Amino acid sequence: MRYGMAIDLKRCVGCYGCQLSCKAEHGTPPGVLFARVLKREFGTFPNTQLVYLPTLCFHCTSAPCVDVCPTGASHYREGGVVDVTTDDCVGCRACMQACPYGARFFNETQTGYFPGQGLTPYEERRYSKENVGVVMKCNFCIDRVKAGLEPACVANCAARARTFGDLDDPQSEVAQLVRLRGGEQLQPELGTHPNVYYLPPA
Amino acid sequence: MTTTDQWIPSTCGLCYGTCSIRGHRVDDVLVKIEGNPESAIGRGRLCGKGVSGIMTLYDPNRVNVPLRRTNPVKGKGVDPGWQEISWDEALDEITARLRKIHDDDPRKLFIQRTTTNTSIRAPMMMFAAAFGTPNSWAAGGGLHCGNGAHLIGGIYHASWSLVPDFQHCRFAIYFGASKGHGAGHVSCTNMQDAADARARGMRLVVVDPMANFAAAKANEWVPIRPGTDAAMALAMVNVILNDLGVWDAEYLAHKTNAPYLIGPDGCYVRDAETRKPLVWDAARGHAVRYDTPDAAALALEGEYEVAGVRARPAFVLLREHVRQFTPEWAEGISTVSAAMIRRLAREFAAEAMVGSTIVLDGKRLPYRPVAAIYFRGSQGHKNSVYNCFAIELLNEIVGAADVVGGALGFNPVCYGHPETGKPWYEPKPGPDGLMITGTWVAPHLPYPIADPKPPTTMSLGGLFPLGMFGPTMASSDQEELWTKFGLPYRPEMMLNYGANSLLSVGNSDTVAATLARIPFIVSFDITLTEFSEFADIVLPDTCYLESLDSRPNVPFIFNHPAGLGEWSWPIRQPVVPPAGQRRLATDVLVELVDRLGIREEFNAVANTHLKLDGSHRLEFGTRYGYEEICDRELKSHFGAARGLAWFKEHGVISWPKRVEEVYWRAFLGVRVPIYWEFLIGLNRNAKRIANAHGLDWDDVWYDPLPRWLPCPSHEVRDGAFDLWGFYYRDTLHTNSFTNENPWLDEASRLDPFSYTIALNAATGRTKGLRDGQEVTLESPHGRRVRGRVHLTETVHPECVGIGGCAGHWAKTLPIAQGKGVMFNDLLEVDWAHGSPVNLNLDTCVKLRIVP
Amino acid sequence: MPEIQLKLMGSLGRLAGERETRLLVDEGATVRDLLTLLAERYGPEFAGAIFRAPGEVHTYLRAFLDERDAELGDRVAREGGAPAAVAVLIVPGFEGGSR
Repeated sequence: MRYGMAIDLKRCVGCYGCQLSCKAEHGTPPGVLFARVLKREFGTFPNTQLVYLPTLCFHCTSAPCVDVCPTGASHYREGGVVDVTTDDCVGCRACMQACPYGARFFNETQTGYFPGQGLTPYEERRYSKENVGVVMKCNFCIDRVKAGLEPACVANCAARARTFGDLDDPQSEVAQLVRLRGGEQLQPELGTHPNVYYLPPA
Repeated sequence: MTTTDQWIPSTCGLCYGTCSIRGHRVDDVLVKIEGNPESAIGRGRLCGKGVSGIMTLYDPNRVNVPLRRTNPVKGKGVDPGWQEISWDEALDEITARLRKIHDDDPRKLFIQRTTTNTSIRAPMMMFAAAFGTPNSWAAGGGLHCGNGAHLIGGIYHASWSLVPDFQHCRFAIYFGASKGHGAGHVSCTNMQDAADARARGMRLVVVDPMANFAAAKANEWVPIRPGTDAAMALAMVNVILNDLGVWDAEYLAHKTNAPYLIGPDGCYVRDAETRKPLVWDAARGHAVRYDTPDAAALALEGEYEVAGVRARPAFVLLREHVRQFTPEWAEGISTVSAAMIRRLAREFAAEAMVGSTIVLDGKRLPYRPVAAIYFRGSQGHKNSVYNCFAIELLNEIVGAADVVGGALGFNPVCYGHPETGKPWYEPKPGPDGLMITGTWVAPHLPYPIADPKPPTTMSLGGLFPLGMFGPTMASSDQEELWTKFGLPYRPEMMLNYGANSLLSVGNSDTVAATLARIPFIVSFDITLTEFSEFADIVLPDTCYLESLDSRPNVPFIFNHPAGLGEWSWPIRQPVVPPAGQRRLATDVLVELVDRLGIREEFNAVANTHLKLDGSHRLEFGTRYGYEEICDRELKSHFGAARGLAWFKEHGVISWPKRVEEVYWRAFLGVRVPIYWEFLIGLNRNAKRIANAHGLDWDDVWYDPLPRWLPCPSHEVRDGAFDLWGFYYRDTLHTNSFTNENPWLDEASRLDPFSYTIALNAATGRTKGLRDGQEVTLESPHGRRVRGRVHLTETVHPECVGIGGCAGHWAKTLPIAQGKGVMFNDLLEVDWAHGSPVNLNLDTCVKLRIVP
Repeated sequence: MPEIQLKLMGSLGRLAGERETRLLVDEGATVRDLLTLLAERYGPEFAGAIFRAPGEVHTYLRAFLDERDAELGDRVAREGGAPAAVAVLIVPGFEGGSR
């Protein structure tokens, strides 16, 4: 069992549904974005293309963030999901230095989205003191997955650009997509073996 | 203490796409918004805005109590000195003022609303009709986005907008449109359908000054100079008709007025007795009325002697007319190369597969898998009518309108739920056999047009029966024009719902001056905005997550998915109860109706507008709360067992679409005009009235066949102004409303385009600019805005593109304040920048960069 | 001649200068006949609000007979009893607003 994701750059239209449904699902504080939409330009006018590049933690099989964690807070869990045990995190941020993909976030203080105006009822309920002074990251919505749901960014993707599943199962949709569409990892030369694959935009 | 955990079905309100949602409420707190998978509207998936509504609901800057200004001085940046008052005090004063106006002259009431939240449209229009004021508009809404595109959509497709038949189209060409790319009507379902079409291999060509959103996903981006779409489209029509000789004769003969005989005066040659237009029946060898049942050989070519005049089919005139629009000519205007225009015309004509058919659901139907789609980009110009008309002709000449694979209107036909047959509507033939829509959204139907008359409304609409909204509602020269036409009253009071017209219309100084002249302004708002600085009373509105509405996606021509699939009629209901003293604006309107004693009128309008039926009709003399009206509407359509209670539990009712509904063109005997003969009489009559009132008139805007006409920006001679500025819809925002949402603001700050001025990289380098540099843009009229440039390869070298409608300055919007660029501040709002045929405002502007 | 109870709703009342009146109509008069009569009675601005073009009633004009929707060809007068209540109203041409 190796959880992974295929992101179809042909289908994605850059609507930010993933970035913001992730925020809504996890109640992440300002500046913490487990899912992101990046925009990258290729070519020169008029032969140019703007590519929407949705990102998240790639849940690498050889994750440098896990390697450098001094306390074992960063660890692999079922299906190869890379996660942080908040109680064990001392906030040294070595993992953030180690991650080549910028997928980890340090939550400095418990500030809300309306600075100087306190927390909204949503934030009161969703923010957790345990998350202050520690590193936060995407865990493929493992609680949802265990409950039989897709990760929030996948379930919400309006263009159905994201497919989640078991990469070890050659019959899974995600494995087939990666195989048939020529899915590529981001910066495979780093040897991290990411489990998120991008399907080509053209 | 027990925890309550509920998923409440409702409807998004962060754009007019209004996708179906489910709100997850734990105890009294909304903790998540997801799409509702049981509805065709979004199919369970939302855009970034839709999932972020929690932060709009819980914005601590919401208004919670009615407010009255104490400072009589109104102006941009002037503190109104708000004082809290009770609802009774507020409504007493509003009622007294409304009553005085109602007794005196109801037209003195000016009603304004936002386009962001669709739930207010019907109640506000019903209130206006019952009150008796024709002065109602959607602030910048119609001026920018709809006077042309929706008018043409209505005339040709009986619908508000159009999309390619995503399931069958093979080649779509978008002119300044983004259907399926993250914003607008039906945004989430269209995103899915467009992505499926891409995966299936539909070729998409996007003609646009900027390669974002639709163009980013296109097979081919065709950069074009703003406001020149008609030139390119007409050249394509010329190539298809005159070089390639391709057209759909069957479609043109029976579904358009192409065979109607045109006399030397440009008008239809009519039957002496019935006054019906004549066509040449080649089988009979003489002219017959267009609706002669067995006339099957209607001539599209030739010249005939009829009723003592030489007459030719309208189609001959079209072919001759477009000969002048060579690709070389179009290249000079649009910057799109003649070779490109020829190639695209060839591809469009070939892919149309004229004559082919397909069998769906056992029925043989025309198959024309091409679509030419126009929207905000091509329509947002002085020449919006001809821009959209010219592009639509591409669909019409090859018969690719509301047939399998072609350009589809959003749901022009609905035969209702299988159990009740409701809602039911379909287009029907009107005067001269041309189509009348089955349902509509704006104050008047696209067709038939009324005879022009001396204007008696603020928008001068009577003189311009094609326009929906006019700039004089907020223009710098409104007083001059009203005086010219002897408007017998002036606005004395405005009732505003949620519109921030300071930002949404044009430059804010002009709009501010018009608002300052209105003696009393009442505004329903969820926050105080720049507009509030001009309001006298602000009423605390519920936000969409605290609101009720029986019809967020009605009529289906507005924001219900097109194409095959399912019908869905969802409701909006409170996901959390309203906090503070917030009240549902519609409830307040109904209370005002009663306080004013116009209940009979309102109930009569509601019966008609909502199509209330049988025992569910409102008795004229009985008072009904808004919930009761919603309940009756739902029961009228779906039976007594499916009232509001049923819908509160289930959220949505869905049923399958039929082939006859989606591909209705083949089934209904209606025609659409490829030759706008009605413009001749309109021009003659309107010109006479205009001249009598001292308004200059130019016949060129009223030719029955389209041509490219310059925008004011094309006529700027000062070479220092070397760039064209335009704005585009940013997927993260709707109008100026969402700028205050901090999740969306955070995303915008990280996005390279959202808050910046997109400038072609090479152009920027020539000017010595670096990415991120702060610059001032200046218009020939001396209007200025400031912002950071983003150097990019994705914009035409002559252009700057600015996203959304940002640049707020109100301290009451702390998240939005100071973010992004207010493009509209560069726009003139006056007669010279409006269309003299449909009153559309020109939204492209010549600019120079000042460091 | 039968009598009807006429109500001019919304903007029509202002144009007519009166919102309610009693009117004598011809035996067999239809809604269309009544509208023609009203156009003559109340003058050109009122007529312009009712007729899109000469002889063509606006698609968005609605008439009600005893609160029920009436077609242009419906007879306005009732046989015996109390006078029929006729209401005329302009509902702008949106959604259900067109005939």
